[in-house]
Amino acid sequence: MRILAIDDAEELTLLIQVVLEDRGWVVHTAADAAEGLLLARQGYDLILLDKNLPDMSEEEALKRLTGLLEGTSARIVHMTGTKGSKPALGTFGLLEKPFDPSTLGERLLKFMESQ
Amino acid sequence: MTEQTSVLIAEDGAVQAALLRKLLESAGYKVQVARNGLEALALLDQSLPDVVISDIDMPEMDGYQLCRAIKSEPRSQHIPVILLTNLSDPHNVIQGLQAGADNYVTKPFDGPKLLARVESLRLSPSLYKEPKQANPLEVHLAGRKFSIEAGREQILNLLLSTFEGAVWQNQQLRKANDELQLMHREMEDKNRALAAAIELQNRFLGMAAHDMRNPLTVTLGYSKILLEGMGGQLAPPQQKFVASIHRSAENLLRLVNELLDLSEIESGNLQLHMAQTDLHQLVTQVVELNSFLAENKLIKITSDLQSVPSLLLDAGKVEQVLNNLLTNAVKFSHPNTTVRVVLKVENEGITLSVIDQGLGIPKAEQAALFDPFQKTSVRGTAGEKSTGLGLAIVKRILEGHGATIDVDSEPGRGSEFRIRFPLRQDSLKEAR
Repeated sequence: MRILAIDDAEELTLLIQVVLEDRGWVVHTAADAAEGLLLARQGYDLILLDKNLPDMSEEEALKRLTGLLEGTSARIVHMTGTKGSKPALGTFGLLEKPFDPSTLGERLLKFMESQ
Repeated sequence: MTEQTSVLIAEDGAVQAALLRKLLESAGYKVQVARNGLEALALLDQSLPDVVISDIDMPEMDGYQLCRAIKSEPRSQHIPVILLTNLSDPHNVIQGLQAGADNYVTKPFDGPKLLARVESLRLSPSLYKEPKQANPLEVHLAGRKFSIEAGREQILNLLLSTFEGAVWQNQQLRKANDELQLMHREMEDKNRALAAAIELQNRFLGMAAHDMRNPLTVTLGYSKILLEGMGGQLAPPQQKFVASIHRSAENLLRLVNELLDLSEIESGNLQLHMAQTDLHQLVTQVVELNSFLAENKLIKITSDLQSVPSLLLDAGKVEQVLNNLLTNAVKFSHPNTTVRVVLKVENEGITLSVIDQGLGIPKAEQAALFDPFQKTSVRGTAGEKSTGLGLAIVKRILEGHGATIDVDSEPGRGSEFRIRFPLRQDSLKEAR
């Protein structure tokens, strides 16, 4: 599995990287939307996208990322610190913070399997 | 003034009498005060004043009776009588005319105006020696007929003074009304500012809570994977320390969540997603989940659940409520005790009770139990922490459902928290 985690909370993307690399997955991180969009086309299976990025609105970031990924099989999963949010159209799931790192890999696999 | 003018005041109110005396004496009048009509007549027997000022409502003999007595006595009928009125009833004017009063002054009186009246009456006493009309005037007021015998000039004078009093009173009312409107506008401005401040505070709280989730995820996450041995097996003291970091972070997360919940509720943003809900099923699930946690403390959760009609509820929020009550019950219970959950139809409603055999709550703390930040002095039996917000949130969520919660508790014996959901009449019949 190849994962890209986009979040300005770098400690958090590092945690994601640590636990998922432990499963043998490849994890890259980006600290804002601009960096994420630069990396996005490098053949990821799943992109974890924080809803609240410093340089771009939630809608804009999702729209541009979806545009970039057209024709690829990459799936987008949102991350949020807001309780009770609903998954946005065009994403394959929503990861509410704080999430349990021990079960993160399993949850991401489920997002990959969902239709 | 060659000879000092004398004024007789008939007034039962001590304060009003003192005010009048002070006003008149400071204007150079000689003043006598009687506390009712009878006292005034006794004083009139001794000497005749130049002017009489009389209140209307007085014990023993009221102002009209006094006026009538003065005007019916040849030796005193020339003395002008001023009646003090609050102009609350048009009949006052008729009664004043019938009694032969010369002038009305409205209460609360205006000092300079009252003095001007007294002075003008003193200077033209001839008016008041005028003979009565041969043919009494007939006046109709509020469906009743009144006969007035007073002289024309007296009538005119009394009506003018009444009108003047009414105009003055009207001006005072308008002034008071303007002031009230100004105050109202100021109050509205203040309310708006206050609402904006509260809104800002809630946004701030929301933002802070949101921003705390990233570091909390990191703290909770690393401590969890360390405990699971992902960074290598921890030595027992290390295990203990990291577990403490994890527990603290969990407490912080709960505080953040509850602060956020409460600020949402307090700012009127409690969003309830109501749907027909099978409460029996919901309670069964929540009890099952909590049973695992209770087992860690060797506490058993038993349930006695009647089937109840479905209710319009926000299932997630009601689950939060029941979770909170069960967590509390377990928190404050000793090992090898039982927590009972009872669901039944009762008194036109559905009652859901959580009954423990735990520490109980001191009577003095029970009243404020559902207020925010009211932590009970009772400590969790395994050192569990409380935020002091849980029951406040519970109460507000239930209020949002039109439901109520109350508590019976005895220190050392345990507590019973009882939720009552109202039941519509039609669904009540189904249940029976």
